Amino acid sequence: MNKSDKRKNSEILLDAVGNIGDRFIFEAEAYVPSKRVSPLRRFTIIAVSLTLILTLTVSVLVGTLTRQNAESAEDDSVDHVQTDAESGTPDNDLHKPPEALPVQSLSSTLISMKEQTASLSSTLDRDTLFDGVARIIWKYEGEDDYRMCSMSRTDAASVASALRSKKNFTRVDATDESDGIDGMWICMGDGMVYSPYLETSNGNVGYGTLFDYERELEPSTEFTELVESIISKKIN
Amino acid sequence: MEDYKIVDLYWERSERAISETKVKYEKMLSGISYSLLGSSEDVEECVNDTYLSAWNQMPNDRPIYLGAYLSKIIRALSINRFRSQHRKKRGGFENLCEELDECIPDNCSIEEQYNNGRLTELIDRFLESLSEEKRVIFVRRYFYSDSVEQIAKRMRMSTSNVKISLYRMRESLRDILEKEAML
Repeated sequence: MNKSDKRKNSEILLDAVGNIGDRFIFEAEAYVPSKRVSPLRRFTIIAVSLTLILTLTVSVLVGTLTRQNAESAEDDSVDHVQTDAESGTPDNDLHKPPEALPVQSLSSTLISMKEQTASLSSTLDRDTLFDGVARIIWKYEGEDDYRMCSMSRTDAASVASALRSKKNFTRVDATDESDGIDGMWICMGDGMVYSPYLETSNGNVGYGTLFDYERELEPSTEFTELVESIISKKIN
Repeated sequence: MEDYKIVDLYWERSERAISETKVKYEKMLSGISYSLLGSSEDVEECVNDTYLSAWNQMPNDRPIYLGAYLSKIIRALSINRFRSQHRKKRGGFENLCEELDECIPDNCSIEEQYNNGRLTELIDRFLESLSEEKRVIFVRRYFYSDSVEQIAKRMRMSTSNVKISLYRMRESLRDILEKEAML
């Protein structure tokens, strides 16, 4: 093939490239290359990651060993006390670990206040949720009426803050077991209804109604004490 | 403005179609034409001819990717202009043809395959077989007529890597054309 024939063919080929699929043309215009990581930067990233992993692993191991040592030291001290007891030496309460104080859940707190809060019992009117008054509302199993405790603005703000943060609330598995409380809600007086037993998400906020739910959380001791103090103020 | 809205303006025979096309695509179209022709005067004429061509062909055509549609028009117009002016000065078009010389197997005439649409089909299949990066390099070079330096900058690669990629792709395309010629 002579030079001019070859040239003619290459022009034809160039013309043919002009008819390629639109998607290739579009792709070549829109393409954004991914950032290329230099070998040195890649090495640095890997080195830093490995260092972090090693540091974390060592910290966890040291923590575990320290805890084990502390537990075996406590066992030793208990053994020591027992030995003293066998030999007639009286028990020394200071050596005993303090007994954990019983923690009352929110439900058990409300149960314990059932009689005291009888005066707060009322039927629920939808307008109640929109009357501008913030309330704690709960319902005991087997009762038709709700207990409603109105809150001051300050208390409502404290409750709202606690609900937003859900600090120290613990996750629980949903259970069919009954604890005597059908439900507990916080209504801010504008129709918005929340439950301290649920995660804060769009699906877990009610409007104009007290909704049924399966528990996801156990409120914290601090929240329980806050609710208890608000209700106690009301009934006293 | 999205492509489909601009195309709607062409179909409605609204003069805004041209002004919107200019806003969105003038720079890209000028770039393609300049790479082939190297003369601002010729580029301006080709760009204006492109708008006229698009106006005349729509309605009838309703392209999905308006940019690709216009790019094909201006590319063809620019190459034809180059040929008709018999440019002796070495330009983008000459360089591209010289490179593609390497793709043409000996004793192979591809004119018939071009005329029956088979050649473009082969090139499409060849492009499909490439990685996205390589495909973009090929199209930027041989459709958009970008220089090797422009491609290297766009792809964040070195010019030598781009040249090597293009060389290997031309070799692959040559193999495909050779096999096709033997059929």
